[in-house]
Amino acid sequence: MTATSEVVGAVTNAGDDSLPTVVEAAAAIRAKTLSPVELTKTVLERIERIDPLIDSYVDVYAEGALAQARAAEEAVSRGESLGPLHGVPVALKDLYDVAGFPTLAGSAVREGHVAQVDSEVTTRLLAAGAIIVGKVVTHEFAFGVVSAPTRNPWDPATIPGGSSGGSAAAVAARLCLAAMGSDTGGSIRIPAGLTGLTGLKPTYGRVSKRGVAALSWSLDHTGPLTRTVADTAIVFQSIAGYDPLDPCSIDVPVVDVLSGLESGVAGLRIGVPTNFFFDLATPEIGDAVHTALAVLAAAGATLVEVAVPDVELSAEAVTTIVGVEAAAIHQEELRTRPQDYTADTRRRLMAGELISGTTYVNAQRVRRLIVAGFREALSDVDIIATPTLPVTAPAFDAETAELGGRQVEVMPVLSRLTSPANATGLPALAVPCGFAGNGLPVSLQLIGRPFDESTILRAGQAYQAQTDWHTRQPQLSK
Amino acid sequence: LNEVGTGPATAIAVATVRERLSASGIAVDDSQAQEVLAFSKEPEVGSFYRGLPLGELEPMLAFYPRWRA
Repeated sequence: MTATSEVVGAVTNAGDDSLPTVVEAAAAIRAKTLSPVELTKTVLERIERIDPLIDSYVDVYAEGALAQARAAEEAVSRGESLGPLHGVPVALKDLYDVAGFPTLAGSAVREGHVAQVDSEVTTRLLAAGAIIVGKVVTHEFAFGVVSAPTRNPWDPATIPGGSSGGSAAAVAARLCLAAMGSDTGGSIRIPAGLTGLTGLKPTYGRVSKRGVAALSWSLDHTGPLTRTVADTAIVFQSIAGYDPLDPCSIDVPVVDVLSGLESGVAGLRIGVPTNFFFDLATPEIGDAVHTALAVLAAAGATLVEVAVPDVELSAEAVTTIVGVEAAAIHQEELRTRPQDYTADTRRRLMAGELISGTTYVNAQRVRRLIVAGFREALSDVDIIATPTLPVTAPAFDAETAELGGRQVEVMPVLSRLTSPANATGLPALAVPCGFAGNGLPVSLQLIGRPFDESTILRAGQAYQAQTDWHTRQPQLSK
Repeated sequence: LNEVGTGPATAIAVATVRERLSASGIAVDDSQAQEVLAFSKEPEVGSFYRGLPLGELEPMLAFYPRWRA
């Protein structure tokens, strides 16, 4: 086996501070030019050296990861059949159960918790050959978008977003090759967008949530954050599919998203919303997204203006539903150990307790309007393209952000454009599409038809084939 | 966040929050009730939904696979 640093340099031509992508690493391991042990050691060394700058990990499974890596290397030596993620170091948001380890969900409420069995996603990642390198920070119980204490690798004075902020920061800083997140109002796509990554919220029910701490049963989704669309596709393919033990899982066959990934966008109709999505985005974000759409048009896609009726109702509906469902999930602990929640989460949960049954049911009724609006919009196009976020990463200690000339609480600002895909359950992909004048990433969101992850991944891949935003790396050193 | 004032109406609202939470087994003081009130938008949100043309629409069921044909 060749030393990782040599292989990485050869594979990525990006110098000593880089790591291969998932696709590059898997191919190199398969070709026996990259040692899973050396790759895992490199990741662990980087975590030790760089993570103190961004605080993305809550637990590093160094011993277990190295043991897995040695087993992976032996399997390669024996010529065994290898999974698509064989030897690839992956991190899990600290909501995912790993048997024998705590799932603290960013909260003192979970102190002493030890998972008895793996989450279904953990099981599937391991079956695909992934090496679980550790757990990364989540906003407490995923109920927020800050993810303290984690910092954004592009500017540590800003947040990485959330609630999968640790996942995003770790991938962006090359402290793992991929990470799992969860998304209730945008918590995969928001941090992916703020840190220049690719993030996929699959269709509701497409990826199992069993063994992942819940925030809101009817809005939670699980999915990956990676550096490239191709990496996201390979992780998604490894974890997607029906789980009969998850009541939210849906028995719809998963197509092979990898085989069509390079098919391009010729003939695809991409909807560009005429309402809501671009209204309050900063001008440079709007410009960057329109430039990205021009790239897709030049690659053969047809851009079509579309209206998305009732989409503006999404934020209110999602806020109501999350508030009530989270309060229901936490009702016992909120009464027996309220002091163990952070003040912010405790307030949000108590506010959820005050929402009436009628209001909750009305919010679920409103979802039908939003779904109908998207059905109408998607009847004429394959994808709806929007900005992922209306702003770039807010300052770490900011309570508000400017939206359309007003100061608004950070959470509704960051989830404004992502929450519609939670209300509807539609698949949505965040793809980096440039940088603002402040040096922070800007992101394109591609929303697809139900269970059609393959088309948004194909479009994202076509975009990344024409651009290099996804190859940019934040400069962190110690 | 909602603007939470200091007048008599706010005092009544804070007391109502305390009573409602207390009735459901959550004990809070006035200060905590005021913080919750700042996050709670129940009156406005309830009114907002009542103003929508929901007609005979049935709610999405929490665990219903919404896009099944």
